[in-house]
Amino acid sequence: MLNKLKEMRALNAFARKQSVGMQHKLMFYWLSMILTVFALVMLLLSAAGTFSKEDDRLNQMLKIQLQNSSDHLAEWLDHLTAQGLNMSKELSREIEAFLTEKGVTLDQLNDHPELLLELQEDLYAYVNTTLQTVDCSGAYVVIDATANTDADIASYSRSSLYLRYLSLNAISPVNPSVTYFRGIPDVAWQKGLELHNRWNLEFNIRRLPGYSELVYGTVSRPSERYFWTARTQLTDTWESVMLLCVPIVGNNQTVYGVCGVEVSALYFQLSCPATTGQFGSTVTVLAPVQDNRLVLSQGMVGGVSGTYLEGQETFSIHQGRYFNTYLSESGQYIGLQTPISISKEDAQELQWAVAILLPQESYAAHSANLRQTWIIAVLVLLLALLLIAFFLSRRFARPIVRALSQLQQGEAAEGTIFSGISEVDNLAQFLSAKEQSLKLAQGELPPNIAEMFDHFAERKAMLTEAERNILRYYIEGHEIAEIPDLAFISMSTVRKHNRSIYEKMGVASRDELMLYIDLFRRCGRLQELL
Amino acid sequence: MANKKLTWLLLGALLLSLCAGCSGSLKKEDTPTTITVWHVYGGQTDSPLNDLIAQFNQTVGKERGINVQVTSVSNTNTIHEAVLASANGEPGSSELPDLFISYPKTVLALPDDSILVDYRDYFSEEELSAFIPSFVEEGEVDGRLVVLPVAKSTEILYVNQTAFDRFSEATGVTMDALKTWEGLFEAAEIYSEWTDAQTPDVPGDGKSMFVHDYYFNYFQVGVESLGESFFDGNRLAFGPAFEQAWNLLAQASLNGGVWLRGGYATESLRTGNSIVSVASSASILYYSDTVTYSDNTSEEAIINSYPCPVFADGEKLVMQRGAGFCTVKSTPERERAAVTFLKWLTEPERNVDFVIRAGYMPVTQAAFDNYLPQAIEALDSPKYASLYQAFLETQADYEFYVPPQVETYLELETCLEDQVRAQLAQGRREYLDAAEPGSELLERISQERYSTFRQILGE
Repeated sequence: MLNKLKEMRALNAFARKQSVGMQHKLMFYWLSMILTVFALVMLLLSAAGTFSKEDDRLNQMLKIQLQNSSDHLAEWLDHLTAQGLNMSKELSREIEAFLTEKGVTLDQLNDHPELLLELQEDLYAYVNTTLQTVDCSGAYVVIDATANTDADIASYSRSSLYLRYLSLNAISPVNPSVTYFRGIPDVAWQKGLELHNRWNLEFNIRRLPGYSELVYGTVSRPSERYFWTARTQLTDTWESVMLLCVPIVGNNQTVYGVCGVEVSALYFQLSCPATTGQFGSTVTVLAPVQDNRLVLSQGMVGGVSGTYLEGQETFSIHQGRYFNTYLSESGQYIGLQTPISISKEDAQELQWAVAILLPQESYAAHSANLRQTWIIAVLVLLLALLLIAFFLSRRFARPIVRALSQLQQGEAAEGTIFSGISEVDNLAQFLSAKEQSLKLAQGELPPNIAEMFDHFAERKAMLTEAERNILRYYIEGHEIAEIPDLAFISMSTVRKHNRSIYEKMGVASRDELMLYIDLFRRCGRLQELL
Repeated sequence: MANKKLTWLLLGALLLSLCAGCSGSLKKEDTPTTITVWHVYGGQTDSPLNDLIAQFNQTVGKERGINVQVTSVSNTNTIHEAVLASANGEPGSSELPDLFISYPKTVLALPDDSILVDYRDYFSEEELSAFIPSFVEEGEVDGRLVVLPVAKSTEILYVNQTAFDRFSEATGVTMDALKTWEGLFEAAEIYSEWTDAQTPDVPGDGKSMFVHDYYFNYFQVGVESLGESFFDGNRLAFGPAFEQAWNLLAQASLNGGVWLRGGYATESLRTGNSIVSVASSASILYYSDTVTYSDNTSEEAIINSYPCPVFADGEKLVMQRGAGFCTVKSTPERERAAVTFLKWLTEPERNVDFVIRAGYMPVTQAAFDNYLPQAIEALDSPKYASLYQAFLETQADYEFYVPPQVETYLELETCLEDQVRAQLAQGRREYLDAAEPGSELLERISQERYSTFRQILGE
């Protein structure tokens, strides 16, 4: 590890010694800046709760749905219970009138199938009306009497009239078929009803846990004690139901039996369809809670479209910050629940709850999609920033590099470098000036002066031999007056030559000529004139 | 140059990641395709198909993201009405399910049968050739295969053997009498007299021995077996054979030997009001081993099955029944899901597993040859063993009759069922009320009722 670190350090030191291109370095700075800003933005987004927002949104959605479902179910069950209580009052009046008319007591109905048939004929209208007018899938009445007290099943068999809808393929069927589930078949034949495939003459009260408390307990008003059963399978059928059980209380507080309505699992499923949203399909559940477990097999499950919910699961409930997690062997769901009171003085003491369940996989898929979208967006943003950094650094570095290249090629002296960046242009000018002064320091003439010198030297070729001779005397430092003697010519000839020399050499006077000669001497180029 | 390459590389990577993102967003396995079903297998009882559907959902369904939901288990007539109401867009009608059970008569009555999937779009010729050809032909309407057979039934004679044996012992009427309609109706008259005689203080309370689930089928198959055509276009032919069948039924009915109330044949057997019935083999699910009498006593009864009776001078002909699945056109995804389920259900071994519990016959040759015999041998319920014995005898001795595709089929069927019962019940009351009953009066009432019956059916 230590060796690795040392190696890294050595590499870094080596990299520092390496010369890096201006564009790359600039880009590196850009990227550093971008990544810093990006990290800051992500930090701010994270601090603002952007990434946990989905949990919060799901929580909001679940809360709203739970509120709606809870309100709907509370209203529905309340209405059904109210209708059940009303049915109980009407049946109580009818039974009392029947018993008075026949001059018998409730007990005396036992072993009198003909009286029970008459009573059922009277009660049929009430049960049928309740079924037809109330938002339920069945209605029933159980009279606490049996057709044959000697029968083996007499202890738990009670005369009953139980009507159910035959086919529930629509939530509000216009003309639903009614089937005769329990009761004396003569009533069904009179009314033209089909017997249910699993028809029976009487009702098995063992299917109604709490029946004894309701019928043999002390009740003065039906509203004092009533309850909804847990979901129970209708024997030998594929259907399961919840039954509202309301006591039929007579004037002298005699309980004649039990009546109520039925909500079948299928009816509940059709009445509470699944809701499909961005997080997946949510299912409405009405179920008892026992030992922190939601027992679906005893409750009702709404439409399960878009999920694999079977409706038989028992979920352990794990509470979370935003939602609860519901675990069972067959799957994992997330959701929320709220308690609901649907029974009064229930012997079973079931604690009911309304819950909204969403498959965990759906939410996970939604979150994964969202994460993917974020990643793509971040990658696109980073890529865009990278490209911008690349183009900007290139745009910035290109003129500088070009200018430097020109400088390398010695174009600075010509003064043609223009990069658009003042510092670089100044540097070019500076380098140009520096080169000039260096040349001068090395004895080089400024270019215009050198040009003048060159022209002057070239003109010497136009001089005649005599004129060149006189010029040589001047170069040697002789005065005009000495020339006639030296050249063996007259002064006037000297003057004549002088004029010609001035003219050809492009000077106006002897002083100017002498200045040139002096400059040539100083520049060490005097031999060019000789 | 190198920079340019880098740019294109980055752009390519971006595009790829976007594509990956798009394809990744469709997580089909997380949200199953839910398809709805209306079927008839099991009625209100424990449905063998529902059990299989649960099995499908937990296995293949989970693998392929399909969830089959049963939203109605009823009978073909209820489904027929619901499908027509829905297809016609009637107010209050339900949305059509993805799959529903139907006879071709329902498809014929649809305003537009193109709302149904042609199974040839989803089944290869090889797959279809695995089915019994006549079953497939039955599901064709206007050249399109719209009804896929999944189970076939026939008509069976069910006998409450416990009660019949008592009757037989007392009167000498044997099971042989039930092989022909003539013998059966004669036995029914004897049964009515015998039960009436058991309560001498209450006259006219004789019980009916026999009930037929579908009198329409009694007449249809009976008339055809006597060599006559039952239909005349979209109406009934009413030839001499029809009258022959009527006279037999009417005589036994007026004498109280036939149960004439509505409802299924199982009702009167279950309540002890009759002891012999002819019904679909699929009715086996609804026959209870217990008969419950009006005094709340009950009796365990052995229900035995026999081949359907025939006319003494007629052919051995029996009705082939059994509707099939129609798939409603929706999205390719849902249609594929529905067909996946149907293919799964008609795999030979599973098909046998399904039909053997529901009183049907399988629909593929491989199922008949390779799995059905073992499945019959393995049956431990005497009621089901008896049924499949009768099935095999029927297959060996009878010819199957397939009803023709007549547009008014359901209308005629419903009307005939109601009117046979209504006219004969009225005749029975008239006969009971008559001061001097006798064969002459009986024949007169029978003819009057037949005449009214014909008038109503003729209209």
